[in-house]
Amino acid sequence: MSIEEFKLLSAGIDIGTTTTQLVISELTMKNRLPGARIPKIEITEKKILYQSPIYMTPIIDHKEVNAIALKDIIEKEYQKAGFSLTSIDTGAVIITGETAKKENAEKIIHQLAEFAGDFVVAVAGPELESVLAGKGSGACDYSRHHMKKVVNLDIGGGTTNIAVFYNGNVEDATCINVGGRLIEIDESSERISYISKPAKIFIDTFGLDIKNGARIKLNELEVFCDKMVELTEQVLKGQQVLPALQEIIMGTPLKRDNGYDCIMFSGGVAEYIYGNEVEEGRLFKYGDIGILLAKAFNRSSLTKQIKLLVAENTIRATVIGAGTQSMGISGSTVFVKPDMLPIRNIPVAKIHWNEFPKDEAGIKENIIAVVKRYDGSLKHNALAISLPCPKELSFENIERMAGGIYCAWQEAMDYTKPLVVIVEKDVAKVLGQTIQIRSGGEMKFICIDSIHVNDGDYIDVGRPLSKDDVVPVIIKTLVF
Amino acid sequence: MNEDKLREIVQAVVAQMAAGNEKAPVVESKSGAAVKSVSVDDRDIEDITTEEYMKKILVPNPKDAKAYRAFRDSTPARIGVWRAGDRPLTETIIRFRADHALAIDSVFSAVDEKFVDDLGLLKLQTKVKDKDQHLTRPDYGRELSADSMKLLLEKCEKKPQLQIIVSDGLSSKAIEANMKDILPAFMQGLKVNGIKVGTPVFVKYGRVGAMDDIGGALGAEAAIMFVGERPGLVTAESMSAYMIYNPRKGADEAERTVVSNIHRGGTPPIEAGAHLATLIKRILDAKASGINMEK
Repeated sequence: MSIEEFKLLSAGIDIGTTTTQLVISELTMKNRLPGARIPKIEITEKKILYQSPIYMTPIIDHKEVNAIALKDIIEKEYQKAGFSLTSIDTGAVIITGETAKKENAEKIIHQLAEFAGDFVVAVAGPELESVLAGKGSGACDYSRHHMKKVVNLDIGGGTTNIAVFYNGNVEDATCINVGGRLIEIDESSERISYISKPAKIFIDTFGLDIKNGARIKLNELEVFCDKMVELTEQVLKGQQVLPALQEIIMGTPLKRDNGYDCIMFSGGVAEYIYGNEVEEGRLFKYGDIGILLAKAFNRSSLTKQIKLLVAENTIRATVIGAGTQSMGISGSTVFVKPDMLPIRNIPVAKIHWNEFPKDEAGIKENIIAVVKRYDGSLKHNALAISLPCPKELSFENIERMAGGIYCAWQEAMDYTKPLVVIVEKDVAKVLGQTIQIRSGGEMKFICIDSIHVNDGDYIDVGRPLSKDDVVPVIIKTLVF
Repeated sequence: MNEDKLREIVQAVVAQMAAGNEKAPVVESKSGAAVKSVSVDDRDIEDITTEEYMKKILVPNPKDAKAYRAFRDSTPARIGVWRAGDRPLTETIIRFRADHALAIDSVFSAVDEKFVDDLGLLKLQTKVKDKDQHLTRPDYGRELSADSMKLLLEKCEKKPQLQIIVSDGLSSKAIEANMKDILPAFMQGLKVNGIKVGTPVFVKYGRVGAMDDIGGALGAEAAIMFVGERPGLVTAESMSAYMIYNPRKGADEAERTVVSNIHRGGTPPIEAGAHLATLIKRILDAKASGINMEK
């Protein structure tokens, strides 16, 4: 039962604090176990077909995104790339950094709704962003090929996204308010034209002489950058930061003993860390402190004590990550009903048990205890539950699980909304079919496997990609 | 079951070694006096029959232990087994022999009759008389004995949509290890897809070709055979499922669709059962199997 290979067009749009970009790539999927095995479909190749120029994100008054101007940019870029909206199969719009504030995000989603082809969705969230950047920069691949622990720092205008990889897996991720555009400078008059809120925190904490409208003092700005780098270092080492700077950390703190083998930089600032020549007298060419920040990283111990790797992609790391890495695929034997798909923005409730419950009732209670918390969120059009699998994958145990799921659904879930059942081990097809029989076909559900989700994640499930029912899945940590 | 058997074998080997070495070993003690050890205490001897043992890395000081661990976990092959001089370590060679012995046992043992009864299968036999003939005359293993053919025609539903056949093939253990889980999952999948089955049978000393003989005699639209695979050193419990549309004597091998490597460490039998039901549905819809489905 060999499965031909097939290709998908994927779009990635990154709307950041400073820049907006778009890439279109082609994902190739292949059955890795052809012949006499149960198919295992994997994404085998990612080819970038088009990269847009880097646009400044249209922002009014340092706060509000000009969504209409943004739409124009993207519309123009699609045209230039030569792809129609309908030809795009999948991908992600990622709204990052400062732009990701709720009001902005909602406006963007609204304006870009028509660009949301069949499966292009909006994703955001600081940790996810960090992971996508690290995948786009090449840090993740390097960690797999060299079996090393690699930390990727994606330094943008408003934020630095940090992700730690080992052997191709994400080990840790966070995000801090350190960036090249926290202070803006008018290049011609050499005066400070804008000080962001996080910058103010640094200035106040360390008593720096940096004032809006005043002429720049290079020395003070250098100290400012050194302090940002110092904080970054503390965060990387999992150390306690000054209480006054606590606010700078946007994600969860990193683990203490990460012990990095290598460090990689991406994002706009990275280009200058990797030695872009600064034009004579044009230190403030970008109207901000990006170049100064890069120099501060260069003199820090971070780039001296840890092996410095050159990124494959710097300023485009996040958009490439979003375009090529945000979509995953389910196992190849799953239980889906194509007419129920696609479904989007489904909250995931993760069910736990230490020991596989002895009977159906035990499973049912475990599910209900977790699902209850989602009662209030009626605006969601579906719910996903992720269940641990028994160690012994016997038919009896699958029947018990199916029974428990069915009873929990009967007792505590909304009949009118579909349920997505997620298991990690390769048993979705048999579990789905058992639930189907047990519920006499009255239950609206799908069952997918080989997907790893966390409590509080949201997922999108697309239509089957092949006759073997494999479905595309996007996992995100935030929805709007 | 697997582990118990291994343990038995190792114990037997150890007992033999002890028997062949009746004079208790004489060890020089530090004081220089000869000390006679009296009894064999095996508490400190590692149990090498466990599944965990196969996950061990025996290399004393690997340069990158974490990387070695990742490699080890990615394959059931015997890597990281270290050496004594240019030979394998004693314990790894004992485990290797034990696995080999298990594979041989699996070929030479028979599927428990009670097991077959519990599954509710009609018991049949090919023209093969005994194990030796089973291994030396594959052609006999492809046809039912005259008695069994009579029984088949007497007891089984004629012209079923799908005929199910279970056979020991080259590993009885594969059948005993997987059928209890795969069969209910498969039957349930057939039910979901609305496929009707005839009277399921078990064939002793069977080869894959026996499905042609049986399916053809009954005039089945399609047939599926669950058969034990030739055991290897990783597992003796691997099973295959062969499927054919329009089974008949003289069918081409290329007409068969096959799913192999069904065992606990490969494709889980329950998931395989569900997947096979979908494949059967596709075969019936296409009115073709194997290479003919690709046309």
